[in-house]
Amino acid sequence: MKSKGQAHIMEYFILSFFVMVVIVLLIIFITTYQIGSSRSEQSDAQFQKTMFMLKTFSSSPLLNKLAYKEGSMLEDSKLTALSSIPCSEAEGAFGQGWFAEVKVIGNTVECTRDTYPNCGIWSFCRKSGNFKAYDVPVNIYRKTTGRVDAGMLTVGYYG
Amino acid sequence: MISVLEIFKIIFGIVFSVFVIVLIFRFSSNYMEMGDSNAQANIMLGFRKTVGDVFASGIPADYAIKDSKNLIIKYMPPQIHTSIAAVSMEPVTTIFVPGDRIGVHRMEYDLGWWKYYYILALPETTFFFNPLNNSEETWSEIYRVVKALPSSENIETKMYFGLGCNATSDQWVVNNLKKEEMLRFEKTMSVYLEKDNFMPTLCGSFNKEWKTIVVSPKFVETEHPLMFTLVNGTGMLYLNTSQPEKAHFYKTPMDVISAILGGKEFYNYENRDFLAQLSLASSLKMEEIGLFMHRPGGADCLPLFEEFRTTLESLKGLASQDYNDPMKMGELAIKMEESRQRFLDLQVRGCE
Repeated sequence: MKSKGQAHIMEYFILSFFVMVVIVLLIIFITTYQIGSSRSEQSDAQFQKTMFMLKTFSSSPLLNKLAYKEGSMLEDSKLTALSSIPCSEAEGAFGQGWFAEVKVIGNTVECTRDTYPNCGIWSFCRKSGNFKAYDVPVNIYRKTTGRVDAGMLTVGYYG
Repeated sequence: MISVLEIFKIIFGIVFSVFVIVLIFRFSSNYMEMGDSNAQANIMLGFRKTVGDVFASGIPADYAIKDSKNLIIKYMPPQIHTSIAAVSMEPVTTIFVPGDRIGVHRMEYDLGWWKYYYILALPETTFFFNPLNNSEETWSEIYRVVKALPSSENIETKMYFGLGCNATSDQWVVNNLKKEEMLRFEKTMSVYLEKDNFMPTLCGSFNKEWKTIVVSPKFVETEHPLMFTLVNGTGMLYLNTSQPEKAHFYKTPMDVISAILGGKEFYNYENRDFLAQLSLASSLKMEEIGLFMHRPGGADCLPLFEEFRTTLESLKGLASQDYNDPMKMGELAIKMEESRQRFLDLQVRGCE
């Protein structure tokens, strides 16, 4: 009689144990899923931060052709001017930790005061280190010839 | 007679059930909180995306922030502090007043050779101007400020404008006007004045919800912010006339708008950002001039380029000065106007 009672109690403990195991597994599964989705949201937030910078940079009046109102039209002389000044000065307007690069498709000459206007690559605030960057196609207005070239704008954040 | 085993079953069942229920309840409430936080984070990220889109396109947009009073603790530019995290609006200069429905507008301050873009994100607002005299300076100051405020013609979040009061009737002259109507009214105001119908006076009462600005050529004590006009579109702005020592100097309509909407904090933010960008714009323009001024065939333009560059150099120097210094900022206002004129000269002569 006593051992039958003990067996019943053991049954209850084992049943409870399995119920607990199922609950814990369920919690682990949901938590893992939540961590995964919060990581993806973090990466989404990083993406949005970079896209925000990309939009700001590409439509900044500091770099766009004057009086151009339909979208963005980067001007080569303004890009050359920005690439010639210290990065710290540009960071005063665009914030910290970013970099950008504009490339005219098919042109490999870095733009400086000396190579302008026969050049097609402009780099801003480029440093070494890990980064996440995105790029978009842009129009580049050649001030000396009045031509419009196709190019790629890359904007990223370090860290 | 209940056996020991049955007593055990009852006690064990109760304890275990309570344990499981508490566990599931705690976990699900945490899970729901996380879901709410995600939804709130998405609202704020969506707001930043809208600001970015408006900044890039220049097309105003409406944005709904559900339960904004609970979600947004405070906007301390450039960070929006929410109940879950802070969202930075950097690098876009954003003057933001929280509300459940926001109109997002890209505004600009145009110097001819450079435009300063900034975002005004406001709920439905009425701007009410109370001039205390009939002078041309007063009207042009009001006109400049109204022009720098957003038009809500193509969006649902409306901006309204009002003007008052008239001593003969003690009533508002106009109210609930749209921006375009207000500007038109001001332009045709001279006809109204000629008939001697308008005797400006301080309104007896205002709606507390309105953003009211009293405009006067001399200092007077009022319960509302006072624009005390000086010269060249500059002046002093008293947010609290009982503390005249805490006045702010204004050199652009943006200074007035930022201070009226967010006090000293917004005024400081807008000035810091505007001067930093003005300094950078001046550096870039000087570099750009350097690329072109010595090109063959540009001899006629050389003196004009030199003059423009000298103005930009002064502008850059003044942009690094204290924006609370009326003397320096007065000089800056003059140099900004000078730079506009010099650039216009370059364009007229075909050098730009």
